[in-house]
Amino acid sequence: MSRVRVIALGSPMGSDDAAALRAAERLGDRDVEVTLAGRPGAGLVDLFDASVPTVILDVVRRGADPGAIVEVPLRRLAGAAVPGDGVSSHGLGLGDALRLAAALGRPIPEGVLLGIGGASFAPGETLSPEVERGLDAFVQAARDAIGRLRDGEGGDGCTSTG
Amino acid sequence: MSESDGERTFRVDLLTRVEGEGAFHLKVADGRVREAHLRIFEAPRFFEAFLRGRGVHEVVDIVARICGICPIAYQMSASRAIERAFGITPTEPVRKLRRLIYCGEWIESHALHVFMLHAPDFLGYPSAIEMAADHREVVERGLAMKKTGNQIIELLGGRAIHPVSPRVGGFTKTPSRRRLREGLRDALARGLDEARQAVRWTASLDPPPFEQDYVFVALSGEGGYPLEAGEAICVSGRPDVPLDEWGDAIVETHVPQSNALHARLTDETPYLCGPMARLHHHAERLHPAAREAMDEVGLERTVTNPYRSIVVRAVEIVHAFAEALDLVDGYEEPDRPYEDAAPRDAVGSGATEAPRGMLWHRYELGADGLVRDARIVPPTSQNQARIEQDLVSMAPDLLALPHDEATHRCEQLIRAYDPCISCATHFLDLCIEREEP
Repeated sequence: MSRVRVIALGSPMGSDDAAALRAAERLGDRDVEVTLAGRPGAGLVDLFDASVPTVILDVVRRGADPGAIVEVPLRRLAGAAVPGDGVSSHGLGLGDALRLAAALGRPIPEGVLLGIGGASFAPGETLSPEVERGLDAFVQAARDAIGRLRDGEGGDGCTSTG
Repeated sequence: MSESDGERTFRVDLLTRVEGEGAFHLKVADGRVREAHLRIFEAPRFFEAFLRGRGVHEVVDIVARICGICPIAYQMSASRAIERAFGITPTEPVRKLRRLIYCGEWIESHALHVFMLHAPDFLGYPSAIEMAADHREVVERGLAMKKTGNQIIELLGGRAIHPVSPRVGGFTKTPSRRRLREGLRDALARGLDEARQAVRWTASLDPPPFEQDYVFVALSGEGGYPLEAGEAICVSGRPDVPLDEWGDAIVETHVPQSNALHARLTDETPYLCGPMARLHHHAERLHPAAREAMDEVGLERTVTNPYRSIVVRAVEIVHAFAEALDLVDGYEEPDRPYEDAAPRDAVGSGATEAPRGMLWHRYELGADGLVRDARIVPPTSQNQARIEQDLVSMAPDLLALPHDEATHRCEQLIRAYDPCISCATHFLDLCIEREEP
């Protein structure tokens, strides 16, 4: 049985941007190492360990309906990451972090990105109704992904619930 | 660019590799600058309003959320302001721990800026990601230093981003001597060597020629290089200003092009805060290792080319590693992790030196333990007027350059200040006075 790392991204004060952090807080398990990483920027590359299967939880602004869940294998994401707009030093996003890791020759861990579609990113501590409703399914999707990785099933397909 | 009848406009609609959302607009006609605006259009975040009515001991946790890169600066400035209001004096061991965690923040913030944000400009890459492919060792060195800075913050603050253990009067919990040494010492020693190399490397970069006459403003500090505390503000060519008289020396105004307030001296002089200002006022207080690194590359204490700030930041990284190493070696666990005092009606201001420059807070507090009013003046807002002044000064040189190069030169100049636009966005209160008929 493998140890699995969960890295949750987002801000607790950005409305739906808190959804991944909220989900990660519900994943207490002795074989799961949960890191509430916030917005780590370039520091995200240091959270990758090629030997530890990893689930990254994040909130998706585009490409998923609010509350819907998307799943993309990390290694596929690394190969297909579109360059970010480079707007922010803090905002070196997941795609850019994967590109940076690749440029530095650092291996990408086995695992998946699980994202939940967000509706509101305004300052605030309340999730939108759509994301609130989708949170249980998001947590379950994370548990399923952890279970598969623990059993050595990486999975290589992308899925979306909406 | 638009160009007609001798009029040229340089415009970047979205500044990259700065924190937050901003743009600049420079309009030159007949060889003269007509407009020079650094526009900050990131939405205001209303943190000062959030703080009103909250418990005084919530303030330190709330302000940590203003910035993911410099939360310690916000926590320390808030703590100092509240402590000064309530008459709390942190113990010497607590003061040293504060300097240690602040060194961690300087290391991670400066390493990020030097290697990931600023260096690509000198080497002709659009970002550090492209630079990493050709300069892997340099980028890895920067990331390694940044990681050590984050480790300091995590060990003392409970977590690396938005730390939770700093509080008014000290820390909720302090580490054992053994944990501090085992957790940090080796990484700090390695980091000090890497930082020395960083000074040599940044000094080898070729900055565009651009010298300015700056009014430098920095905190006085208390005994060491200014960091976690200070009772006065040093202003070039003028007497020091006691901290409580900040409002008599510096005024903030709202300008149409920006959601960040502009700070100037009361005679409307724009000023510069940050690494170059600290070095100018306090070079003799640098750690000997940092002074040695300065001397080795021939860096003078007064740097007047903002592009050379990359070298000054590298020198400050050396200082932070060397001081952190001394603090770890000399660490004695405090008898008490924090000092406390009963709430009362009081007003207090406090300032510390964030990586980007002086960060000033002021709180009006009630005997019920609630915040009546809050005011926060971050370094980017203080530097904004000076950045615009630099753009004006640069205009004649820009006219001789191809447009793309001129635009890049402007962008590079703004990035040299390491502006944190998210930190700087807040609004003035609107006050309408109506004359009685």
